[in-house]
Amino acid sequence: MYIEVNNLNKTFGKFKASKEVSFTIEKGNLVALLGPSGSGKTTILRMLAGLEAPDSGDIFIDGKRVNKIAPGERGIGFVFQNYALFRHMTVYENIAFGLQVKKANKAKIRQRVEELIELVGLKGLDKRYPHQLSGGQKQRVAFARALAPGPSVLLLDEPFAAIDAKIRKELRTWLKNMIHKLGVTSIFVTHDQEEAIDVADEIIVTNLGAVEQKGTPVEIYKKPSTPFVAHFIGESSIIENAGIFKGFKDLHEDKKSIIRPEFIEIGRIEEFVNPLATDRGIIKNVSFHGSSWEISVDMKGCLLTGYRSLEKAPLKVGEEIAVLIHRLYVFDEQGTKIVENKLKVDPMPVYI
Amino acid sequence: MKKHKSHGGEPKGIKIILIGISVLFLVTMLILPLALIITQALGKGVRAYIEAITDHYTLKALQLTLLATITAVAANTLFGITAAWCITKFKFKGKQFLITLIDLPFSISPVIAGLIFVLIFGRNGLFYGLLEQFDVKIVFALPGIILATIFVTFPFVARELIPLMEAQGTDEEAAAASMGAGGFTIFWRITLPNIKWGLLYGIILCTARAMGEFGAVSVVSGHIRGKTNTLPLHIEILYSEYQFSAAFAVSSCLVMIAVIILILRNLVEWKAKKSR
Repeated sequence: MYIEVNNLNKTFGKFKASKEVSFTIEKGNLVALLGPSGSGKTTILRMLAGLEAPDSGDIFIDGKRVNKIAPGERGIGFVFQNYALFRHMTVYENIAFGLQVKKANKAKIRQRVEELIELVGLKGLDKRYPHQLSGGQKQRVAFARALAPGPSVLLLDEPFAAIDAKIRKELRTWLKNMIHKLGVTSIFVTHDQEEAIDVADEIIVTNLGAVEQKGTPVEIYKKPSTPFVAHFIGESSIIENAGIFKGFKDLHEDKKSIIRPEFIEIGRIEEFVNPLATDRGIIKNVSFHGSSWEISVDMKGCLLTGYRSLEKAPLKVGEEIAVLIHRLYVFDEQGTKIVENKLKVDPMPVYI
Repeated sequence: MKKHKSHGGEPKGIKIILIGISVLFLVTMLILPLALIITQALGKGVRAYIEAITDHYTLKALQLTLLATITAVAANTLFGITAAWCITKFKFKGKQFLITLIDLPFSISPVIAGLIFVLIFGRNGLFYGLLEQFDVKIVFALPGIILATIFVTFPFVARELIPLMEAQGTDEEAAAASMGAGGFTIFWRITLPNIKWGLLYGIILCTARAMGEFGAVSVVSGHIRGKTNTLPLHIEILYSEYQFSAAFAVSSCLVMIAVIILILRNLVEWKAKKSR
């Protein structure tokens, strides 16, 4: 394991920012620290960088314990949320700073800086000051500056937060490709699940200062290990008593479970092949979602959300319709279980 | 009938009245006194004027004022940067108290500031015995004047820097630290260039105040002509000796210095705005 973090704890006054945080990261991976704001993800990142000292616990980078090592000696590049570019220095000077501090010789610095400016696509802008750059350009400078001293680990704090939505996606892809091309082990902080799923090889989900789950985006999405993860990743409705629905009679009444929109089908009763597996519900809200209708249904006191294809007949608010729940997540002491609808497979198949 | 309205929406009449009041106030409070100083200074002719300002005691007083000002400004610049740095870049208990403390000289009468030093270092003071042993004179001597000037002017630089550095945050410093820059490099290459205009502005204000300081210095100086008399004190002595035109002539020197400082101040302010 290239980065190993064991039982990190950190408090600010009375606020517990990190609670027994442990995880490992493989060399060359691009990892997202994902969580709601205040979940302690930035604190973890700053502790890795050495900008914040943990109260207890160990941090290992490449097998070496770095707790006592100064930030500049850890071989880490840090990209700050608002980039923190040196405002009175040009693009060139910003990128060169880390090398000058390390006392590299002038010719070498020039060569490296020019190489990086070329790499991040800012050729011709080297004499500009930060306030003369767009958000995306600033981010590229911050990225180049962090990479200049040749770090083995790159840490990025909300790298896309300050960029407008339109170019965010483009920059996301660019950063992902760039990091994979360079093969530098990277960790970025984000509160945007879509961003994490889109960019990261692995996701570490944090909540209230603790790590909830770590895994690939697919694992996190398909097998959430806690109700928090299931609710935070993807859209979902929390159901307190799933046993009342058709096809889930075997479940204990008080089992907490979660239903994702893609787990349910909403439509008129005649649209279903086996109506026996469906429940009745009243449509509460219909909204246009671009590629589909988003429909909220009140079913036995629970509010469920699902999508409906634009190809099918539109439904109206107040209409009584049928809902087929294909599957749901059930949580118990062991973690998540996926439970399938028992009635979905026709109990009396007719063969011709 | 159409009503004429200015941009603020007030009728024209109010605008004229307000401008009139301001102009009247400025003329009586600022321009008239300044004009008076110049005319009075030249009241006995140019020769008398030049004589007054090239007088031995005047030059000595000017020398002392400059010395006290330079020392005080240097000390307060150092102190101001240190205080602003520790207040804005670190978290600690009692920060608010420290900020209040820095403001103290603004709220204390300069006479009291002077008395404080007399009480500490004077004949009946706490450290008099100790100072006597080493034959060091503070009160009624140059060190006392410098101390009093420092005390009165010490909020200027810190006050100017604290909000500026607070607004800039610590990210740039953290970025430099994460690249391996040491404390001195960070200060010299990141912090100082970012605050230079604010710092210069604070230094200029501090200088202006230090030059003109009267109350606190008056208490600790002892008014020894040619030795412990600063320019403002010298002016007062000349005035109380009925040497009006000499007093005004020396005053005009101080006024001129003040005007130069004012121009510098505006220049710095304009530069600072441009660099933002």
